[in-house]
Amino acid sequence: MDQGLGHNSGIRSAAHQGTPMSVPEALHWFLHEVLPLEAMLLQFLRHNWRDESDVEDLLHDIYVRVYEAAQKELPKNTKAYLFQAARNLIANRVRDRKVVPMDAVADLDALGIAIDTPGPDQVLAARDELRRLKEAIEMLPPRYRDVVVLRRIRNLSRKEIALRLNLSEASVSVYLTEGMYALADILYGAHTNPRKRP
Amino acid sequence: MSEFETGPNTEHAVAIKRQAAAWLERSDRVDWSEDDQSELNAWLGASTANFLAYQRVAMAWGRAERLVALEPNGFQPIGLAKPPAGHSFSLRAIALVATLAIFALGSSAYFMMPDTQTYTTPVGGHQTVTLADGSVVELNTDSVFRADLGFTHRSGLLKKGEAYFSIAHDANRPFVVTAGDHKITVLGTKFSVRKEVGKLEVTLVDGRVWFSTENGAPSQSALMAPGDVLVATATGISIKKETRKGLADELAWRGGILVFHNTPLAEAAQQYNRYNREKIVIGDSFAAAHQISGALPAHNTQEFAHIAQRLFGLQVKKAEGEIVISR
Repeated sequence: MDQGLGHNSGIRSAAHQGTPMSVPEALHWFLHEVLPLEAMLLQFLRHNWRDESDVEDLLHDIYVRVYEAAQKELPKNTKAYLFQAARNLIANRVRDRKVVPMDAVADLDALGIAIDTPGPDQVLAARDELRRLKEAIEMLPPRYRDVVVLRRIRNLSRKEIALRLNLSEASVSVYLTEGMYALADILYGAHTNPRKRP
Repeated sequence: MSEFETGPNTEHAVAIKRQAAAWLERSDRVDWSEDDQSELNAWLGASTANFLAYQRVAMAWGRAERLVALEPNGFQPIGLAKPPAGHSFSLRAIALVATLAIFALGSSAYFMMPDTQTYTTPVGGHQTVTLADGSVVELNTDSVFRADLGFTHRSGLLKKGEAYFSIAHDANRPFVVTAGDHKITVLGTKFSVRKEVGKLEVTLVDGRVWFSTENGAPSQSALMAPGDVLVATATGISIKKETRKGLADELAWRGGILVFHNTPLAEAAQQYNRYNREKIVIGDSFAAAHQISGALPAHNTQEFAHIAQRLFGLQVKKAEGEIVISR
């Protein structure tokens, strides 16, 4: 059933057949080419949409659209494709809601976003990845950070973490959930300043 | 498709992201069951938004794991090697008190009764246990380890698999790890032992260990220094010195990572098969001849298959419980 999967063109036809291999292809693209552009995309959305509270929803809407499209065919230029999707979405929203934001016209040049320069993932060396990860961990609020470090880096069980930090196991799970949530936002840029939580 | 054309999902992105993090946290618990897994699968399948939010948070979590792979000296008394700025002092104090409390508790328990316990990990499993003397043993996939701590002795038996030991120092009670005919005697140190059929590998990170072979025909022994990797087979033992980077690669499994350097595909597949129920089968010698380099997640057979397919242009076929890679 996987015949013809060998090379580039074959991968796309595999997506149409819905074989298991079609999922990793689009998913790989999403994880390694789209997510690294999240911070840039957010910057663009914030610049072009007045209501800050809509921005995360807009972002996820774009993710869903581009991912579903990528399952059929991977775009050639990820960055251009993402920003085109963002522009279309904003244009549709403006039309549907009859609310015109201040900067309704998407202005890529003003943001200094060059469509054909390599994405951050392509220029990020392994060393930088390590530095980024360390910085991200250090940006976590203290409680989350301790729990994340003990679980992820030192691989302690919830029970051991609870003992060490004098918490209940249930609290460890809560902090861990929050830590995972915050870590993804820090790494991908949804919040440049993570919200302080009690 | 149509619901995506009319506008955003009814559920807000933040709520979905929060649920995704909660699922990831749940799936990381030891009591995660097949029922839980099918519940998660249902949630993932419910919408693309759910699926992507989960992949995103899991990807971030997976990336953080690399910090382990690159830091062989990860064992510190408390959470962080270097407390970052802003770290709550009182929290550290509490943690320190808690650690001391565990130590006190551990030693008193040890004086009261000998502590013998067996720890087992399934294929793909990974478990860290703290023994009564404060030593920490980290078990890799498909491993069995029995610890026996007494008043005058400390010993452990690695029946199968691989383990990383961080042995608490006690000059009066050496810790003896036995694996087959081989014995590793230590006072307090960090090392890793891997038992395979007909082969034992010991990697020393820190301190000194005394290695000896008891019942084998040629009785052999060696004093190992940090950075030494000792391989014992039926014909004898050999020791090579690893660089810091090499050591980190040897121990990358602690972070769920497999590191390959021009490794033949067949050998890499063998490594994967230690960690996964779904086995990778290299179908022919043409496929087997390819060499792979890089650091890959041990549990992600899909990524391996993906590389074989994209990088080498090989065929990937999924059969029952198997991924067959061939010309």
